Amino acid sequence: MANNKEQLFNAGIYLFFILIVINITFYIVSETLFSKSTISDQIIDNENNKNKDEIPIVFNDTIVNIDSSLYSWKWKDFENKNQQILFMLNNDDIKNATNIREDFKIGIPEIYYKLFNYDKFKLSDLILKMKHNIKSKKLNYLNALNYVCSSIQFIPYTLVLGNEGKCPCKLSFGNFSAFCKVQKDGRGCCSNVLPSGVYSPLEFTYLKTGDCDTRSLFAYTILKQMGFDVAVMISDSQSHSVLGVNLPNTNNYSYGISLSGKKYALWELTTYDWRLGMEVEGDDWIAVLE
Amino acid sequence: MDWNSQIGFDKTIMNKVDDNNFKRQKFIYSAIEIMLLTISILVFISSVVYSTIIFNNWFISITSSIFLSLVIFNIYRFLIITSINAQNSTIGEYLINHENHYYDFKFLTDRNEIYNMNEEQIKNIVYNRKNNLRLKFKEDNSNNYKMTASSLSFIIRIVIIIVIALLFSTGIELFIFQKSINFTLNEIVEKLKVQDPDSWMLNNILLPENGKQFIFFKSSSLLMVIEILESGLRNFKVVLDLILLLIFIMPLILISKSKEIKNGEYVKELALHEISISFYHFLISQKQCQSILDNLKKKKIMKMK
Repeated sequence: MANNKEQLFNAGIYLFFILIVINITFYIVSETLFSKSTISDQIIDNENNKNKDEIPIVFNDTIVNIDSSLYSWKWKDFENKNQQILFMLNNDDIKNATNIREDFKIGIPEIYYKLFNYDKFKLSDLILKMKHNIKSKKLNYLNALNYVCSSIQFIPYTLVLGNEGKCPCKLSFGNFSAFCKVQKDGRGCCSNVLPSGVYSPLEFTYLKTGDCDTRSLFAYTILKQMGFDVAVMISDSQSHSVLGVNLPNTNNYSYGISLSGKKYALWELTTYDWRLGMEVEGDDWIAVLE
Repeated sequence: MDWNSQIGFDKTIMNKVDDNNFKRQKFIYSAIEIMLLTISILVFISSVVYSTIIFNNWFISITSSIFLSLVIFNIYRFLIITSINAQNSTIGEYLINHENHYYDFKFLTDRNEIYNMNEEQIKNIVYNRKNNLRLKFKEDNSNNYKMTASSLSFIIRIVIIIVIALLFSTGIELFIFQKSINFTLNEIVEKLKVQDPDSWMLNNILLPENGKQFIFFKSSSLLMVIEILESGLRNFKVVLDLILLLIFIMPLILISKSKEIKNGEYVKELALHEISISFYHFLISQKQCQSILDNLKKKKIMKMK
Protein backbone atom coordinates (compact mmCIF):
# COMPACT_ATOMS: atom_id res chain seq x y z
CA MET A 1 0.00 0.00 0.00
CA ALA A 2 2.80 2.36 0.96
CA ASN A 3 4.51 1.57 -2.32
CA ASN A 4 1.35 2.41 -4.26
CA LYS A 5 1.12 5.72 -2.45
CA GLU A 6 4.77 6.44 -3.26
CA GLN A 7 4.21 5.50 -6.88
CA LEU A 8 1.32 7.95 -7.16
CA PHE A 9 3.33 10.89 -5.86
CA ASN A 10 6.42 9.95 -7.87
CA ALA A 11 4.31 9.64 -11.04
CA GLY A 12 2.99 13.16 -10.42
CA ILE A 13 6.51 14.56 -10.09
CA TYR A 14 7.72 12.71 -13.19
CA LEU A 15 4.73 13.97 -15.18
CA PHE A 16 5.40 17.54 -14.07
CA PHE A 17 9.02 17.47 -15.22
CA ILE A 18 8.20 15.55 -18.41
CA LEU A 19 5.78 18.37 -19.32
CA ILE A 20 8.53 20.91 -18.66
CA VAL A 21 10.89 18.94 -20.93
CA ILE A 22 8.16 18.81 -23.61
CA ASN A 23 7.93 22.61 -23.49
CA ILE A 24 11.70 22.92 -23.84
CA THR A 25 11.49 20.58 -26.86
CA PHE A 26 8.79 22.81 -28.36
CA TYR A 27 11.18 25.75 -27.94
CA ILE A 28 13.89 23.89 -29.85
CA VAL A 29 11.60 22.78 -32.70
CA SER A 30 9.37 25.86 -32.59
CA GLU A 31 9.91 26.78 -36.24
CA THR A 32 8.54 23.47 -37.50
CA LEU A 33 5.39 23.76 -35.38
CA PHE A 34 4.61 27.31 -36.46
CA SER A 35 2.80 27.78 -39.75
CA LYS A 36 4.04 31.08 -41.19
CA SER A 37 2.74 30.76 -44.75
CA THR A 38 -0.14 33.24 -44.97
CA ILE A 39 -0.16 34.96 -41.59
CA SER A 40 1.38 38.21 -42.81
CA ASP A 41 -1.24 38.47 -45.59
CA GLN A 42 -4.05 37.73 -43.13
CA ILE A 43 -2.85 40.41 -40.72
CA ILE A 44 -2.48 43.01 -43.47
CA ASP A 45 -5.88 42.10 -44.94
CA ASN A 46 -7.57 42.29 -41.52
CA GLU A 47 -6.04 45.68 -40.91
CA ASN A 48 -7.13 46.98 -44.30
CA ASN A 49 -10.63 45.61 -43.94
CA LYS A 50 -10.96 47.36 -40.58
CA ASN A 51 -10.01 50.65 -42.22
CA LYS A 52 -12.19 50.27 -45.28
CA ASP A 53 -15.38 52.23 -45.56
CA GLU A 54 -16.93 50.33 -48.42
CA ILE A 55 -18.87 47.14 -47.88
CA PRO A 56 -18.33 44.08 -50.08
CA ILE A 57 -21.01 43.31 -52.63
CA VAL A 58 -23.86 41.42 -51.05
CA PHE A 59 -24.91 38.45 -53.10
CA ASN A 60 -28.55 39.03 -52.74
CA ASP A 61 -30.41 38.69 -56.04
CA THR A 62 -32.53 41.77 -55.46
CA ILE A 63 -29.59 44.02 -54.72
CA VAL A 64 -27.45 42.68 -57.55
CA ASN A 65 -30.24 43.07 -60.11
CA ILE A 66 -31.09 46.68 -59.27
CA ASP A 67 -27.95 48.35 -60.60
CA SER A 68 -25.83 45.55 -62.01
CA SER A 69 -25.29 44.21 -65.49
CA LEU A 70 -24.60 40.72 -66.69
CA TYR A 71 -21.26 40.14 -68.40
CA SER A 72 -19.98 37.15 -70.27
CA TRP A 73 -16.40 35.89 -70.53
CA LYS A 74 -15.64 33.24 -73.14
CA TRP A 75 -12.32 31.59 -73.81
CA LYS A 76 -10.59 28.39 -74.82
CA ASP A 77 -8.65 26.64 -72.11
CA PHE A 78 -5.29 24.90 -72.58
CA GLU A 79 -7.06 21.73 -73.69
CA ASN A 80 -8.83 23.74 -76.39
CA LYS A 81 -12.20 23.37 -74.71
CA ASN A 82 -14.66 26.27 -74.77
CA GLN A 83 -15.29 27.88 -71.40
CA GLN A 84 -17.78 30.55 -70.46
CA ILE A 85 -18.65 32.46 -67.33
CA LEU A 86 -21.62 34.77 -66.74
CA PHE A 87 -21.18 37.24 -63.93
CA MET A 88 -22.55 40.52 -62.59
CA LEU A 89 -20.74 43.84 -62.29
CA ASN A 90 -22.11 46.88 -60.56
CA ASN A 91 -22.82 49.70 -63.03
CA ASP A 92 -21.76 52.42 -60.62
CA ASP A 93 -18.46 50.67 -60.00
CA ILE A 94 -17.81 50.58 -63.74
CA LYS A 95 -18.70 54.25 -64.16
CA ASN A 96 -16.40 55.29 -61.32
CA ALA A 97 -13.51 52.90 -62.00
CA THR A 98 -11.45 55.29 -64.14
CA ASN A 99 -11.86 58.22 -61.77
CA ILE A 100 -10.95 56.10 -58.79
CA ARG A 101 -7.80 54.81 -60.50
CA GLU A 102 -6.73 58.29 -61.52
CA ASP A 103 -7.34 59.59 -57.99
CA PHE A 104 -4.66 57.35 -56.49
CA LYS A 105 -1.74 59.39 -57.90
CA ILE A 106 0.91 56.94 -56.76
CA GLY A 107 3.50 54.97 -58.70
CA ILE A 108 4.36 51.33 -59.22
CA PRO A 109 4.34 49.14 -57.12
CA GLU A 110 2.21 50.97 -54.49
CA ILE A 111 -0.71 51.37 -56.91
CA TYR A 112 -0.92 47.59 -57.42
CA TYR A 113 -1.78 47.14 -53.78
CA LYS A 114 -4.32 49.97 -53.78
CA LEU A 115 -6.07 48.70 -56.91
CA PHE A 116 -6.11 45.11 -55.64
CA ASN A 117 -7.49 46.16 -52.33
CA TYR A 118 -10.12 48.35 -53.93
CA ASP A 119 -11.30 45.93 -56.58
CA LYS A 120 -11.19 42.57 -54.85
CA PHE A 121 -14.71 42.98 -53.50
CA LYS A 122 -16.09 44.46 -56.71
CA LEU A 123 -15.11 41.29 -58.59
CA SER A 124 -16.71 39.02 -56.02
CA ASP A 125 -19.29 37.61 -58.43
CA LEU A 126 -16.71 36.77 -61.08
CA ILE A 127 -14.47 35.14 -58.45
CA LEU A 128 -17.40 33.23 -57.01
CA LYS A 129 -18.44 31.91 -60.42
CA MET A 130 -14.88 30.87 -61.30
CA LYS A 131 -14.54 29.17 -57.95
CA HIS A 132 -17.83 27.39 -58.48
CA ASN A 133 -16.74 26.13 -61.92
CA ILE A 134 -13.39 24.95 -60.56
CA LYS A 135 -15.21 23.01 -57.86
CA SER A 136 -17.81 21.53 -60.18
CA LYS A 137 -15.10 20.44 -62.65
CA LYS A 138 -13.13 18.98 -59.71
CA LEU A 139 -9.93 20.61 -60.90
CA ASN A 140 -6.74 20.06 -58.93
CA TYR A 141 -4.42 22.89 -57.79
CA LEU A 142 -2.47 23.22 -61.06
CA ASN A 143 -5.51 22.74 -63.31
CA ALA A 144 -7.37 25.42 -61.37
CA LEU A 145 -4.46 27.79 -61.99
CA ASN A 146 -4.52 26.81 -65.68
CA TYR A 147 -8.25 27.48 -65.82
CA VAL A 148 -7.89 31.06 -64.51
CA CYS A 149 -4.68 31.93 -66.38
CA SER A 150 -5.94 30.56 -69.73
CA SER A 151 -8.92 32.93 -69.48
CA ILE A 152 -6.51 35.87 -69.19
CA GLN A 153 -4.04 34.68 -71.82
CA PHE A 154 -6.88 34.14 -74.30
CA ILE A 155 -7.51 37.90 -74.45
CA PRO A 156 -5.22 39.50 -77.06
CA TYR A 157 -2.52 41.84 -75.82
CA THR A 158 -3.14 45.61 -75.66
CA LEU A 159 -0.32 47.99 -74.80
CA VAL A 160 -1.19 50.32 -71.91
CA LEU A 161 0.77 53.54 -71.50
CA GLY A 162 0.66 56.19 -68.80
CA ASN A 163 1.95 59.63 -69.65
CA GLU A 164 5.35 58.32 -70.86
CA GLY A 165 4.29 57.84 -74.47
CA LYS A 166 1.49 58.11 -77.01
CA CYS A 167 -0.22 55.70 -79.38
CA PRO A 168 0.53 54.77 -82.12
CA CYS A 169 4.05 53.77 -81.21
CA LYS A 170 6.91 51.52 -82.19
CA LEU A 171 8.57 49.53 -79.45
CA SER A 172 11.30 46.86 -79.36
CA PHE A 173 8.63 44.14 -79.23
CA GLY A 174 6.35 45.47 -81.96
CA ASN A 175 4.31 48.22 -83.53
CA PHE A 176 1.08 49.32 -81.89
CA SER A 177 -1.90 51.06 -83.42
CA ALA A 178 -3.69 54.18 -82.26
CA PHE A 179 -6.82 52.32 -81.20
CA CYS A 180 -7.53 51.63 -77.55
CA LYS A 181 -9.46 48.42 -78.10
CA VAL A 182 -8.82 44.71 -78.20
CA GLN A 183 -7.41 43.67 -81.58
CA LYS A 184 -6.99 40.10 -82.69
CA ASP A 185 -3.35 40.64 -83.67
CA GLY A 186 -2.56 42.06 -80.20
CA ARG A 187 -1.58 45.48 -81.55
CA GLY A 188 -4.07 47.61 -79.63
CA CYS A 189 -2.69 50.52 -77.67
CA CYS A 190 -4.15 52.71 -74.89
CA SER A 191 -2.35 55.86 -73.77
CA ASN A 192 -2.84 58.31 -70.93
CA VAL A 193 -3.90 55.57 -68.50
CA LEU A 194 -2.97 57.49 -65.38
CA PRO A 195 -1.18 57.46 -63.06
CA SER A 196 1.10 54.53 -63.95
CA GLY A 197 -0.07 52.85 -67.17
CA VAL A 198 -1.99 50.08 -65.45
CA TYR A 199 -5.71 49.33 -65.56
CA SER A 200 -7.50 48.24 -62.43
CA PRO A 201 -8.70 44.60 -62.29
CA LEU A 202 -12.28 45.84 -62.63
CA GLU A 203 -11.46 47.83 -65.79
CA PHE A 204 -9.66 44.82 -67.28
CA THR A 205 -12.75 42.72 -66.60
CA TYR A 206 -15.06 44.80 -68.78
CA LEU A 207 -12.62 46.52 -71.20
CA LYS A 208 -10.45 43.39 -71.73
CA THR A 209 -7.57 45.68 -72.64
CA GLY A 210 -4.39 45.01 -70.74
CA ASP A 211 -0.65 44.53 -70.97
CA CYS A 212 1.71 42.62 -68.69
CA ASP A 213 1.14 44.29 -65.32
CA THR A 214 -2.61 44.80 -65.79
CA ARG A 215 -2.89 41.07 -66.44
CA SER A 216 -0.59 40.07 -63.57
CA LEU A 217 -2.57 42.28 -61.21
CA PHE A 218 -5.88 40.90 -62.43
CA ALA A 219 -4.69 37.29 -62.11
CA TYR A 220 -3.29 38.05 -58.66
CA THR A 221 -6.63 39.56 -57.53
CA ILE A 222 -8.66 36.56 -58.70
CA LEU A 223 -6.27 33.88 -57.47
CA LYS A 224 -5.46 35.56 -54.16
CA GLN A 225 -9.15 35.87 -53.35
CA MET A 226 -9.55 32.19 -54.18
CA GLY A 227 -6.81 31.35 -51.67
CA PHE A 228 -3.83 30.65 -53.95
CA ASP A 229 -0.34 31.68 -52.85
CA VAL A 230 0.54 34.07 -55.69
CA ALA A 231 2.39 37.34 -56.27
CA VAL A 232 2.81 40.10 -58.83
CA MET A 233 6.42 39.87 -60.06
CA ILE A 234 8.35 42.59 -61.85
CA SER A 235 11.77 42.73 -63.51
CA ASP A 236 13.60 46.01 -64.04
CA SER A 237 15.96 44.54 -66.63
CA GLN A 238 13.05 43.16 -68.71
CA SER A 239 10.65 46.09 -67.98
CA HIS A 240 8.07 43.39 -67.62
CA SER A 241 5.60 41.90 -65.17
CA VAL A 242 4.40 38.30 -64.74
CA LEU A 243 2.44 36.27 -62.21
CA GLY A 244 4.35 34.47 -59.45
CA VAL A 245 3.07 31.18 -58.01
CA ASN A 246 4.49 29.66 -54.85
CA LEU A 247 4.93 25.91 -55.33
CA PRO A 248 6.65 23.25 -53.24
CA ASN A 249 9.19 22.63 -56.04
CA THR A 250 9.69 26.23 -57.19
CA ASN A 251 13.44 25.60 -57.74
CA ASN A 252 12.59 23.55 -60.87
CA TYR A 253 11.03 26.61 -62.54
CA SER A 254 12.18 30.08 -63.55
CA TYR A 255 11.58 31.89 -60.32
CA GLY A 256 11.72 35.22 -58.56
CA ILE A 257 11.89 36.00 -54.86
CA SER A 258 10.07 38.20 -52.41
CA LEU A 259 11.79 40.56 -49.98
CA SER A 260 11.36 37.95 -47.27
CA GLY A 261 13.08 35.30 -49.44
CA LYS A 262 10.01 33.37 -50.58
CA LYS A 263 10.32 31.88 -54.07
CA TYR A 264 7.67 32.22 -56.77
CA ALA A 265 7.57 30.34 -60.09
CA LEU A 266 7.11 32.79 -62.99
CA TRP A 267 4.14 32.64 -65.33
CA GLU A 268 3.87 34.80 -68.48
CA LEU A 269 0.29 35.97 -69.06
CA THR A 270 0.60 38.03 -72.24
CA THR A 271 0.87 35.04 -74.61
CA TYR A 272 -1.81 32.37 -75.07
CA ASP A 273 -0.92 28.79 -74.07
CA TRP A 274 2.15 29.85 -72.11
CA ARG A 275 2.26 27.18 -69.40
CA LEU A 276 3.62 27.35 -65.89
CA GLY A 277 7.16 25.99 -66.07
CA MET A 278 8.10 27.53 -69.41
CA GLU A 279 11.25 29.59 -69.10
CA VAL A 280 10.88 33.31 -68.46
CA GLU A 281 13.87 35.55 -69.26
CA GLY A 282 15.57 37.68 -66.61
CA ASP A 283 17.21 37.00 -63.27
CA ASP A 284 16.05 40.00 -61.26
CA TRP A 285 12.42 39.10 -60.69
CA ILE A 286 11.03 40.32 -57.40
CA ALA A 287 7.58 40.06 -55.84
CA VAL A 288 6.02 43.50 -55.37
CA LEU A 289 2.59 42.33 -54.29
CA GLU A 290 2.06 39.03 -52.46
CA MET B 1 20.48 24.15 0.32
CA ASP B 2 17.25 22.88 1.88
CA TRP B 3 14.75 22.89 -0.97
CA ASN B 4 11.87 22.52 1.47
CA SER B 5 12.58 25.52 3.69
CA GLN B 6 10.64 28.10 1.63
CA ILE B 7 7.34 26.31 2.03
CA GLY B 8 7.78 26.08 5.78
CA PHE B 9 8.91 22.48 6.33
CA ASP B 10 10.04 22.42 9.98
CA LYS B 11 12.61 19.68 10.58
CA THR B 12 12.70 20.27 14.37
CA ILE B 13 9.27 18.71 14.88
CA MET B 14 10.28 15.51 13.04
CA ASN B 15 12.76 14.12 15.61
CA LYS B 16 10.40 11.35 16.70
CA VAL B 17 9.90 10.11 13.13
CA ASP B 18 11.99 7.20 11.86
CA ASP B 19 14.71 7.87 9.31
CA ASN B 20 12.95 6.42 6.25
CA ASN B 21 9.75 8.34 6.86
CA PHE B 22 11.67 11.53 7.58
CA LYS B 23 13.66 11.24 4.34
CA ARG B 24 10.53 10.50 2.33
CA GLN B 25 8.62 13.47 3.80
CA LYS B 26 11.64 15.70 3.23
CA PHE B 27 11.81 14.54 -0.39
CA ILE B 28 8.09 15.19 -0.93
CA TYR B 29 8.21 18.75 0.38
CA SER B 30 11.45 19.46 -1.50
CA ALA B 31 9.81 18.24 -4.71
CA ILE B 32 6.80 20.48 -4.07
CA GLU B 33 9.05 23.48 -3.52
CA ILE B 34 11.04 22.76 -6.70
CA MET B 35 7.72 22.61 -8.58
CA LEU B 36 6.74 25.98 -7.12
CA LEU B 37 10.10 27.47 -8.06
CA THR B 38 9.75 26.07 -11.61
CA ILE B 39 6.31 27.64 -11.90
CA SER B 40 7.70 30.94 -10.59
CA ILE B 41 10.42 30.81 -13.27
CA LEU B 42 7.73 30.20 -15.93
CA VAL B 43 5.78 33.18 -14.57
CA PHE B 44 8.97 35.25 -14.67
CA ILE B 45 9.62 34.33 -18.32
CA SER B 46 6.02 35.03 -19.24
CA SER B 47 6.03 38.39 -17.45
CA VAL B 48 9.29 39.38 -19.14
CA VAL B 49 7.68 38.65 -22.52
CA TYR B 50 4.58 40.72 -21.73
CA SER B 51 6.42 43.62 -20.14
CA THR B 52 9.10 43.91 -22.82
CA ILE B 53 6.33 44.37 -25.40
CA ILE B 54 4.50 46.93 -23.25
CA PHE B 55 7.45 48.90 -21.79
CA ASN B 56 10.23 48.07 -24.28
CA ASN B 57 12.71 48.46 -21.42
CA TRP B 58 14.76 45.62 -19.89
CA PHE B 59 15.09 47.17 -16.42
CA ILE B 60 11.37 47.79 -15.93
CA SER B 61 10.54 44.41 -17.46
CA ILE B 62 12.88 42.39 -15.28
CA THR B 63 11.98 44.30 -12.10
CA SER B 64 8.24 43.92 -12.66
CA SER B 65 8.67 40.27 -13.63
CA ILE B 66 10.63 39.46 -10.47
CA PHE B 67 7.89 41.16 -8.44
CA LEU B 68 5.13 39.24 -10.25
CA SER B 69 6.88 35.89 -9.94
CA LEU B 70 7.38 36.45 -6.20
CA VAL B 71 3.70 37.35 -5.84
CA ILE B 72 2.69 34.18 -7.68
CA PHE B 73 5.14 32.08 -5.63
CA ASN B 74 3.52 33.37 -2.43
CA ILE B 75 -0.03 32.89 -3.74
CA TYR B 76 0.91 29.29 -4.57
CA ARG B 77 2.55 28.81 -1.18
CA PHE B 78 -0.59 30.11 0.46
CA LEU B 79 -2.93 27.93 -1.63
CA ILE B 80 -0.84 24.83 -1.16
CA ILE B 81 0.00 25.17 2.50
CA THR B 82 -3.62 25.87 3.38
CA SER B 83 -4.57 22.64 1.62
CA ILE B 84 -2.26 20.70 3.94
CA ASN B 85 -4.33 20.30 7.08
CA ALA B 86 -5.28 17.60 9.49
CA GLN B 87 -8.89 18.64 9.93
CA ASN B 88 -10.22 15.61 8.13
CA SER B 89 -8.11 13.05 9.96
CA THR B 90 -8.71 11.40 13.34
CA ILE B 91 -6.06 13.67 14.79
CA GLY B 92 -8.15 16.57 13.58
CA GLU B 93 -10.75 15.84 16.25
CA TYR B 94 -8.16 16.71 18.88
CA LEU B 95 -6.78 19.59 16.84
CA ILE B 96 -10.14 21.30 16.40
CA ASN B 97 -11.66 20.49 19.79
CA HIS B 98 -8.90 20.93 22.32
CA GLU B 99 -11.34 20.08 25.12
CA ASN B 100 -11.10 16.43 24.02
CA HIS B 101 -7.52 16.60 25.02
CA TYR B 102 -7.80 18.74 28.15
CA TYR B 103 -10.70 16.81 29.60
CA ASP B 104 -8.51 14.02 31.01
CA PHE B 105 -6.50 16.62 32.86
CA LYS B 106 -9.36 18.32 34.63
CA PHE B 107 -8.42 16.29 37.76
CA LEU B 108 -5.16 18.24 37.93
CA THR B 109 -6.97 21.53 38.25
CA ASP B 110 -9.71 20.10 40.47
CA ARG B 111 -7.23 18.79 42.96
CA ASN B 112 -5.09 21.88 42.81
CA GLU B 113 -2.14 19.70 41.89
CA ILE B 114 -1.27 21.89 38.95
CA TYR B 115 -0.63 24.87 41.20
CA ASN B 116 2.17 23.15 42.98
CA MET B 117 3.92 22.04 39.80
CA ASN B 118 6.86 23.87 38.31
CA GLU B 119 7.31 24.47 34.56
CA GLU B 120 9.51 21.38 34.10
CA GLN B 121 6.84 19.13 35.51
CA ILE B 122 4.19 20.71 33.26
CA LYS B 123 6.46 20.22 30.24
CA ASN B 124 6.84 16.56 31.18
CA ILE B 125 3.07 16.12 31.37
CA VAL B 126 2.73 17.72 27.91
CA TYR B 127 5.57 15.63 26.51
CA ASN B 128 4.09 12.38 27.81
CA ARG B 129 0.65 13.29 26.59
CA LYS B 130 2.06 14.04 23.13
CA ASN B 131 3.82 10.65 23.05
CA ASN B 132 0.65 8.87 24.13
CA LEU B 133 -1.33 10.62 21.44
CA ARG B 134 1.29 9.68 18.84
CA LEU B 135 1.13 6.02 19.92
CA LYS B 136 -2.64 6.10 19.78
CA PHE B 137 -2.55 7.26 16.15
CA LYS B 138 0.06 4.66 15.24
CA GLU B 139 -2.12 1.86 16.62
CA ASP B 140 -5.18 3.39 14.98
CA ASN B 141 -3.46 3.85 11.64
CA SER B 142 -6.15 2.26 9.51
CA ASN B 143 -8.72 4.80 10.49
CA ASN B 144 -6.81 8.01 10.70
CA TYR B 145 -7.53 9.39 7.25
CA LYS B 146 -10.86 10.51 5.92
CA MET B 147 -11.13 12.03 2.50
CA THR B 148 -13.86 14.53 3.27
CA ALA B 149 -12.04 17.67 2.21
CA SER B 150 -14.35 20.51 1.28
CA SER B 151 -14.91 20.31 -2.44
CA LEU B 152 -15.89 23.99 -2.58
CA SER B 153 -12.54 25.17 -1.26
CA PHE B 154 -10.78 22.78 -3.65
CA ILE B 155 -12.77 24.16 -6.61
CA ILE B 156 -11.95 27.74 -5.60
CA ARG B 157 -8.25 26.89 -5.37
CA ILE B 158 -8.34 25.18 -8.79
CA VAL B 159 -10.19 28.13 -10.39
CA ILE B 160 -7.62 30.60 -9.02
CA ILE B 161 -4.78 28.49 -10.40
CA ILE B 162 -6.50 28.04 -13.79
CA VAL B 163 -6.85 31.83 -14.06
CA ILE B 164 -3.16 32.26 -13.22
CA ALA B 165 -2.19 29.52 -15.69
CA LEU B 166 -4.22 30.99 -18.55
CA LEU B 167 -2.82 34.46 -17.87
CA PHE B 168 0.76 33.33 -18.12
CA SER B 169 0.57 30.43 -20.60
CA THR B 170 0.24 32.76 -23.60
CA GLY B 171 3.40 34.57 -22.49
CA ILE B 172 5.30 31.29 -22.32
CA GLU B 173 4.01 30.31 -25.77
CA LEU B 174 5.12 33.70 -27.12
CA PHE B 175 8.58 33.00 -25.66
CA ILE B 176 8.69 29.53 -27.25
CA PHE B 177 7.71 30.82 -30.70
CA GLN B 178 9.56 34.15 -30.53
CA LYS B 179 11.74 33.49 -33.60
CA SER B 180 8.83 32.53 -35.84
CA ILE B 181 6.71 35.47 -34.67
CA ASN B 182 9.56 37.91 -35.32
CA PHE B 183 10.03 36.38 -38.77
CA THR B 184 6.34 37.01 -39.55
CA LEU B 185 6.55 40.55 -38.15
CA ASN B 186 9.53 41.22 -40.43
CA GLU B 187 7.55 39.90 -43.37
CA ILE B 188 4.61 42.21 -42.56
CA VAL B 189 6.97 45.20 -42.28
CA GLU B 190 8.61 44.44 -45.62
CA LYS B 191 5.28 44.00 -47.37
CA LEU B 192 3.76 47.13 -45.88
CA LYS B 193 6.83 49.19 -46.79
CA VAL B 194 6.17 48.30 -50.43
CA GLN B 195 2.38 48.17 -50.46
CA ASP B 196 1.36 50.89 -48.06
CA PRO B 197 4.22 52.91 -46.59
CA ASP B 198 1.81 55.34 -44.91
CA SER B 199 -0.04 52.57 -43.11
CA TRP B 200 -0.95 53.39 -39.50
CA MET B 201 -0.06 49.87 -38.44
CA LEU B 202 3.42 50.11 -39.94
CA ASN B 203 4.29 53.48 -38.43
CA ASN B 204 2.71 53.06 -35.01
CA ILE B 205 3.02 49.37 -34.20
CA LEU B 206 5.68 47.77 -36.34
CA LEU B 207 8.39 50.41 -36.45
CA PRO B 208 10.10 51.63 -33.25
CA GLU B 209 10.13 55.27 -32.23
CA ASN B 210 12.99 57.33 -33.65
CA GLY B 211 16.33 56.37 -32.14
CA LYS B 212 14.92 53.32 -30.34
CA GLN B 213 14.89 49.61 -31.07
CA PHE B 214 12.51 46.82 -30.17
CA ILE B 215 14.12 44.58 -27.58
CA PHE B 216 12.24 41.28 -27.76
CA PHE B 217 9.39 41.29 -30.26
CA LYS B 218 9.51 43.60 -33.25
CA SER B 219 6.16 45.12 -32.42
CA SER B 220 4.73 47.32 -29.71
CA SER B 221 1.33 45.65 -29.85
CA LEU B 222 0.73 42.72 -27.53
CA LEU B 223 -2.58 41.94 -29.25
CA MET B 224 -0.97 41.75 -32.66
CA VAL B 225 1.75 39.41 -31.40
CA ILE B 226 -0.91 37.19 -29.81
CA GLU B 227 -2.92 37.25 -33.06
CA ILE B 228 0.15 36.05 -34.98
CA LEU B 229 0.74 33.34 -32.37
CA GLU B 230 -2.85 32.12 -32.65
CA SER B 231 -2.79 32.17 -36.45
CA GLY B 232 0.54 30.33 -36.53
CA LEU B 233 -0.36 27.63 -34.01
CA ARG B 234 -4.07 27.24 -34.81
CA ASN B 235 -5.46 24.28 -32.81
CA PHE B 236 -2.04 23.38 -31.48
CA LYS B 237 -2.31 26.39 -29.16
CA VAL B 238 -5.07 24.60 -27.26
CA VAL B 239 -2.78 21.60 -26.77
CA LEU B 240 -0.01 23.86 -25.48
CA ASP B 241 -2.45 25.68 -23.19
CA LEU B 242 -3.55 22.35 -21.72
CA ILE B 243 0.04 21.22 -21.17
CA LEU B 244 0.87 24.47 -19.36
CA LEU B 245 -2.38 24.29 -17.40
CA LEU B 246 -1.43 20.81 -16.22
CA ILE B 247 1.99 22.09 -15.14
CA PHE B 248 0.37 24.89 -13.13
CA ILE B 249 -2.22 22.73 -11.35
CA MET B 250 0.01 19.69 -10.74
CA PRO B 251 1.35 20.80 -7.30
CA LEU B 252 -2.18 21.46 -6.01
CA ILE B 253 -3.47 18.14 -7.33
CA LEU B 254 -0.58 16.29 -5.70
CA ILE B 255 -1.11 18.07 -2.38
CA SER B 256 -4.86 17.53 -2.44
CA LYS B 257 -4.95 13.95 -3.67
CA SER B 258 -1.77 12.35 -2.34
CA LYS B 259 -2.39 10.30 0.81
CA GLU B 260 1.36 10.43 1.43
CA ILE B 261 0.95 14.11 2.20
CA LYS B 262 -2.50 14.24 3.79
CA ASN B 263 -1.79 11.23 5.96
CA GLY B 264 1.97 11.82 6.15
CA GLU B 265 4.15 11.91 9.22
CA TYR B 266 4.80 15.61 8.77
CA VAL B 267 1.13 16.57 8.98
CA LYS B 268 0.67 14.32 12.03
CA GLU B 269 3.72 15.75 13.78
CA LEU B 270 2.60 19.27 12.95
CA ALA B 271 -0.82 18.58 14.46
CA LEU B 272 0.72 16.99 17.56
CA HIS B 273 3.06 19.95 17.89
CA GLU B 274 0.18 22.40 17.78
CA ILE B 275 -1.88 20.32 20.22
CA SER B 276 1.01 20.08 22.69
CA ILE B 277 1.77 23.82 22.52
CA SER B 278 -1.87 24.58 23.08
CA PHE B 279 -2.03 22.08 25.95
CA TYR B 280 1.10 23.50 27.53
CA HIS B 281 -0.33 27.03 27.46
CA PHE B 282 -3.62 25.73 28.85
CA LEU B 283 -1.86 24.25 31.85
CA ILE B 284 0.35 27.31 32.35
CA SER B 285 -2.67 29.62 32.16
CA GLN B 286 -4.51 27.50 34.76
CA LYS B 287 -1.52 27.81 37.02
CA GLN B 288 -1.33 31.57 36.47
CA CYS B 289 -5.03 31.99 37.14
CA GLN B 290 -4.73 30.23 40.45
CA SER B 291 -1.75 32.32 41.49
CA ILE B 292 -3.68 35.50 40.66
CA LEU B 293 -6.62 34.28 42.70
CA ASP B 294 -4.27 33.49 45.60
CA ASN B 295 -2.84 36.99 45.45
CA LEU B 296 -6.28 38.54 45.43
CA LYS B 297 -7.27 36.46 48.42
CA LYS B 298 -4.20 37.59 50.29
CA LYS B 299 -4.89 41.23 49.64
CA LYS B 300 -8.55 40.76 50.62
CA ILE B 301 -9.66 42.75 47.63
CA MET B 302 -12.19 40.18 46.71
CA LYS B 303 -14.93 38.85 48.86
CA MET B 304 -14.64 35.08 49.04
CA LYS B 305 -17.33 32.58 49.82
